Amino acid sequence: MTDRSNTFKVDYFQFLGVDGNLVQGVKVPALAKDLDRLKTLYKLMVKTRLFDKKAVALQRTGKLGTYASSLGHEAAHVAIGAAMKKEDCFAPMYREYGAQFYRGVEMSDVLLYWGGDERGNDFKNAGHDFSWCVPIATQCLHAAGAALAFKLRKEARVAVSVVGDGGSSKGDFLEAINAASAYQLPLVLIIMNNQWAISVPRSSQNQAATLAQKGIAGGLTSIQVDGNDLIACLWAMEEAIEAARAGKGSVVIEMMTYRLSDHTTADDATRYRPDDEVKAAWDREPMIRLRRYLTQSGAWDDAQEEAWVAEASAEVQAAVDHYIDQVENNPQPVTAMFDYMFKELPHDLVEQRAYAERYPEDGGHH
Amino acid sequence: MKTFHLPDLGEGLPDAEIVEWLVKEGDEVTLDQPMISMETAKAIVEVPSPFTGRIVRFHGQAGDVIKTGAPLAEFEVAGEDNASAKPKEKPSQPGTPSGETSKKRDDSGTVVGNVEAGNEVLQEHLSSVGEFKMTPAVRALAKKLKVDPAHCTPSGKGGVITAADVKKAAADGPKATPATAKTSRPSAVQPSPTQATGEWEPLRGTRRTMARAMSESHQQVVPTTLMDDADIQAWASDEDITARLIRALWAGAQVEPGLNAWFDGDNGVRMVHKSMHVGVAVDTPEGLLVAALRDVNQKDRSALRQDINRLRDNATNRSIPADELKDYTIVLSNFGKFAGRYATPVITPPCVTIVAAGKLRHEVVPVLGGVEVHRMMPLSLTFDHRACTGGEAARFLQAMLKDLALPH
Repeated sequence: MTDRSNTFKVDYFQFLGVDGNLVQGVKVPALAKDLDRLKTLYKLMVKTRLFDKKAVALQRTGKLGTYASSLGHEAAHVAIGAAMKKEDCFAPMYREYGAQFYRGVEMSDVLLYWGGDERGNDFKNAGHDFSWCVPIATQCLHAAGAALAFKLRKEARVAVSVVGDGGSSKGDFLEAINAASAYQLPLVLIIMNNQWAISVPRSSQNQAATLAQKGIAGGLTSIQVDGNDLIACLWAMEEAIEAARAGKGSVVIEMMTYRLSDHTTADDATRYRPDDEVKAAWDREPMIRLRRYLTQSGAWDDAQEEAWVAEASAEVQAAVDHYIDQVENNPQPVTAMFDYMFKELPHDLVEQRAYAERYPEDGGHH
Repeated sequence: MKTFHLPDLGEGLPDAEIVEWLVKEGDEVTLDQPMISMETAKAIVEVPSPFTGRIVRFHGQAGDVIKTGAPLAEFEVAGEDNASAKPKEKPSQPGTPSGETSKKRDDSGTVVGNVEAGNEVLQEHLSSVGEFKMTPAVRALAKKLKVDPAHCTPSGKGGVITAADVKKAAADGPKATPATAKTSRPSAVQPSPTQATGEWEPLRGTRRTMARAMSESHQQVVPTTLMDDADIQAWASDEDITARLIRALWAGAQVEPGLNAWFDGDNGVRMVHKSMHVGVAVDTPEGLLVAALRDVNQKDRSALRQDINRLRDNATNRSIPADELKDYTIVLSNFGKFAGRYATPVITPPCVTIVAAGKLRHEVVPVLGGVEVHRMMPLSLTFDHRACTGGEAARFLQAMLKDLALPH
């Protein structure tokens, strides 16, 4: 993965087939045999999906604002979180809950954020990570900046960022590649290619055979993996992160997955996406193949599945209860939007903050 | 009993239409079970049950449009604590909607928007999705100056009320009582005041479209109306009134083409049409329709009459094709077969002109050497003063009167 020759080849890696069997004829990494670890990660994938379903239901019943579902991305997301060390830095886009949960972000944090509560951005257990980044691709440059700081401080830390297939068309992403290349940054950039940039299909985004090859322009190691294969995602992430940590430069990983959900709860994908395409994508989704693999390996069974779903559902409900309790019984003051944004408030915002503070007390009348 | 209110299913959506209930009244349902399919302006979404319990009553059936925040279903929830389920009611404040929508609800249906002060947040929500477009800062200014947005004339792009509009309304002084006007505005589902004997019913289809179009016109257009009488004494008794009016419109457009035009105020552009498609206002029990007669300037009297007859038949059968309901370049309203002499007809953007004919009458007119009694047709012409000058409109009308005065 450190070959920088002028060959312009983007390798594709898949180790776990859709049938739950390891792919024949390729050298499967050792982690495929670490069933305890894979089981732990599978359980997090299950919990993430249960959480996701609940969050959509909360939005539909008026208890949550617009929410971006992670349905279908669970393997890729969990692998990203699992490959990182605690001291590394994650700069997500806005649906990588599996990675965030692994790194200590609470489910209630996610709900508070999408509920418009600043406290959701204040990760108690993942304080080095960036918050969600809705503007598209700007997080790549945030991560590049963090990586540069690590390098200047000579810290053995790595910054990881995720961008969508659509986001990879943005200048911010290409600038991050250039910065990573110019400064030899400890940075891993993931293109989460879920085939749809809201309603724009991958085929209309550009004519490049892969999106990963954009990294080649910066001389970065650039590969594709099956984003629905937890083993491939985890292996690629670990290789990339350790290379970056060892000062061997940045890596671009294009994870090939599929957005099984609407773009967000404010979207209706049936208006632009063919049903048969979605149906075919469900056959390749990441959960069932891993469950089959674990079951065939004797590490998992239906009783465990059932017990875990019950336990994880209770965890999800507890997070929902905490969220509802916070917004109903412990609401934030309106000044929170100022206080969470700056360490020291710029003078022009001091006045606005005072105005905002008076506003609810005066019942909106001045 | 718990009431589930329709939440905003998208981002700032005013309402949603029921596509289908996935459960029946009386059904036992569980939390998050698919309950109803709703269509918003953006999407068809499935709304799950917010409770585990029994559905006692629906507040609408397939095809009904439910306003955001209005009740959708009543639930009987096991182990329900009646005391805690009672809404925490706050007295309505001036300038806030009264009743149902301003209460903090027991189902936490608006928990997201309700964190600080239910009244304020909800009012902001209503005005942002309702008839007033204004930024939060301008809304705050309006509150500060005690100006009802309904009394502001929007000057911003796309009908947005600006700070200047609010200040102007404040300077113009109080009109009516804004707070009362607002407070007494009932939602479609609220119990009527005690004296009322009817029931609020949602507008549908043509009538709903009419309400929106008229409201849009009112927000955008700067209308000015000219009125005059056409002397049609020279006409034969069986003259085709509609066909003559249409011919007169074209006669006007040949003198002043700028009235047979479309105007786009947002982009500051207009399109003067080389041909004329006359939108004919048709009164139906469902509401007002405007159907187009195409290329009237290229048709002789009999072809025109055929088109008019076809339009009448289609309107009667309620079978006007959708593409005949748009893309007209000028509008004609012939309301005068009933009653009414002059009117101030309303323009439908992007058109800039509407001409309305009132009830024919006989009138004493001075002629050389004495007086005569002539048949007269009262005409009212409204033009959008953003797009046309008064002179242009007057010359257009003059050309119409001249053409209508001809015997044939």
